[in-house]
Amino acid sequence: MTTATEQVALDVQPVLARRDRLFVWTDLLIPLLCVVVVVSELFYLSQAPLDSIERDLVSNARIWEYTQQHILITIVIVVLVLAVAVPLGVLITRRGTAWIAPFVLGFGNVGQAAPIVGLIAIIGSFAVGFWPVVLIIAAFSILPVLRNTIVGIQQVDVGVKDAARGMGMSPRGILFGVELPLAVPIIAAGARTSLVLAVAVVPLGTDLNAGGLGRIVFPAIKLDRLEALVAGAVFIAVLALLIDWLGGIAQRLLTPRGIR
Amino acid sequence: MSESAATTTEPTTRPSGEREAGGVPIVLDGVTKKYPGTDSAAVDDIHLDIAPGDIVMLVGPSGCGKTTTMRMINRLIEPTSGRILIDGEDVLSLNDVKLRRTIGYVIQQIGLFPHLTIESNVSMVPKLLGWDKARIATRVEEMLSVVGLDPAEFAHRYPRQLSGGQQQRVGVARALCADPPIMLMDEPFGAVDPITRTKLQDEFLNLQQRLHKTIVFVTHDFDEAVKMGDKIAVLDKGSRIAQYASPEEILTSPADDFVSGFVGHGATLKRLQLERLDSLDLHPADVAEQGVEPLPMRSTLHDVLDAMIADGLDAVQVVDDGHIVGTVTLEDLLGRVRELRAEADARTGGAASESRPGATPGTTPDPELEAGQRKDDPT
Repeated sequence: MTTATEQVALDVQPVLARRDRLFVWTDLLIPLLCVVVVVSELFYLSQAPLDSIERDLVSNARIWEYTQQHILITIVIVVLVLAVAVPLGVLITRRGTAWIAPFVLGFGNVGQAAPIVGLIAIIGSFAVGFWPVVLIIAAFSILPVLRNTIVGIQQVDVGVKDAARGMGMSPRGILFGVELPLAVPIIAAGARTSLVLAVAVVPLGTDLNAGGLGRIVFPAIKLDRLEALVAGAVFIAVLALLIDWLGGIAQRLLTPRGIR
Repeated sequence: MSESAATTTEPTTRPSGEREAGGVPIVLDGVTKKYPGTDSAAVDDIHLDIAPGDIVMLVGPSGCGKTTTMRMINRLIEPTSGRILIDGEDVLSLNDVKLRRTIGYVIQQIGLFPHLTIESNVSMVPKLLGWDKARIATRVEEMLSVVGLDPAEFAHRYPRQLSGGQQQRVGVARALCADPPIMLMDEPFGAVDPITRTKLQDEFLNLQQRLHKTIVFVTHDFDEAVKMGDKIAVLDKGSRIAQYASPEEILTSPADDFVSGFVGHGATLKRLQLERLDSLDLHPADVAEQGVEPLPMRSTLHDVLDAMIADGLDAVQVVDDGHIVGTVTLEDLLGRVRELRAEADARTGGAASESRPGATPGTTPDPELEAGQRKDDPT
């Protein structure tokens, strides 16, 4: 047996793979790719032998207008989804309100499983315009955020929660000071999934007159104009990629430093 | 950096003039916890008197209810019946959240907030209590120094950037920061390696000598209970107290078969861990062989015996303050063991035997029995 002073410190500090820089150069690959694709597509359109209908359908002014509409619809949907899904997810993880879980999850599952085109057709026979489409797509894309909020809160280490309670933090203090901050990366991942879902589904609402890049795609199908159809599809894909990329950056920024 | 370098800040000076609050008494009076749908109670009618400033070890096999008992004190678990008095006040009459802010809480999983800096972790309770910023800042610095972490180096780090031992130091600092009179500790050193555990135990005992908190300490490790405890409550199923006494008494006269089974083999050897060289009269220095490293005066008799066996000697030299002050022989050790045995027999009034089924559980220990010899200087 050795005395305390002779003891070798076994308890060595972990070697840290610290990530001090928030951004790395590879973050720029996705936007760069998007720019290349968009520029080539626009260049191709300006060179291609298009008839007057096509030229009108993919004019720069229209593309820009529809893109803005598309972005606006998507943002409204995701804000709505977050505003509804995060509080519901929190309620499900509270002991007093856990009983709502089957109802809420059932709603989320039905929302995601229901054929979105059918929903749009049914709702469309009663109401058209911006809000009906936003509400349908929001219901459709609520599940990822809801599920991730629940998982994000439940995965918080029991020792951390026990310590928080044991030192006298109130339930509200634990929720806002410990559980939600530690759930941010997971909730944000759900929000990214919802974002991409929304971007991809918004064109289906075109026939309800909600706007967006679907207004290039669907007329192009009906009028059998392949160039315009491809152009519309490319812009939607690029938009989805860019929005997911932005979501990733936001996710990183929102994640507390200690767990990044 | 290494753990040893981190502890160079000697935790003996107190930078700020704040006085630490000493411990207060805790009384568990007929406390019972019964979970709905179960036949037997998890904790069944426990009575426990905890003196202010004592470390009381709750020790027992898994599932005996020791953690449940501890967690009822700060009402993380609500008792089904019974009273828990802290400094005479029934905790069930207090607001549970506010109550917990006055009780330090350290757990095996440590439970540091991974998204907050060490500084924010340590200052959590003072913030909840609404201390002003300047006071919190000085207090956090002081607490980190007390647990042997350099504030300049560690305050702005995050928990994952610390080793397990360092994290538990922060855990202790966090629990002590608002200067609670009571600490609840649930196997706090259970998750670190044995060497770090010994170090943390030693440092914590040193700290406690200045702080005199009332500490309820849960462990399943009887050796830890012997080392850390002023008193040990050996618990059987349902938190039945098989014996509540000083470590010395439990080792020399276990109350029943359950306790002696729990103490395990080598009770006498464990008993020697509680005795230091200064309890013996030393021979003049020339008896021992030369060339063997002398042992410091504060070594336990267990260390002495270990050294003798290791080197095949029947005598070793003792050093105090760098000077050889005398020699201790194997005969001295055996003599001391016989004395201890005799003292124990005199106390229980029976002949020396392994178990004493007749002894009453929960008997208070003889206060004169070496109470002062385990810890260096219990003022």
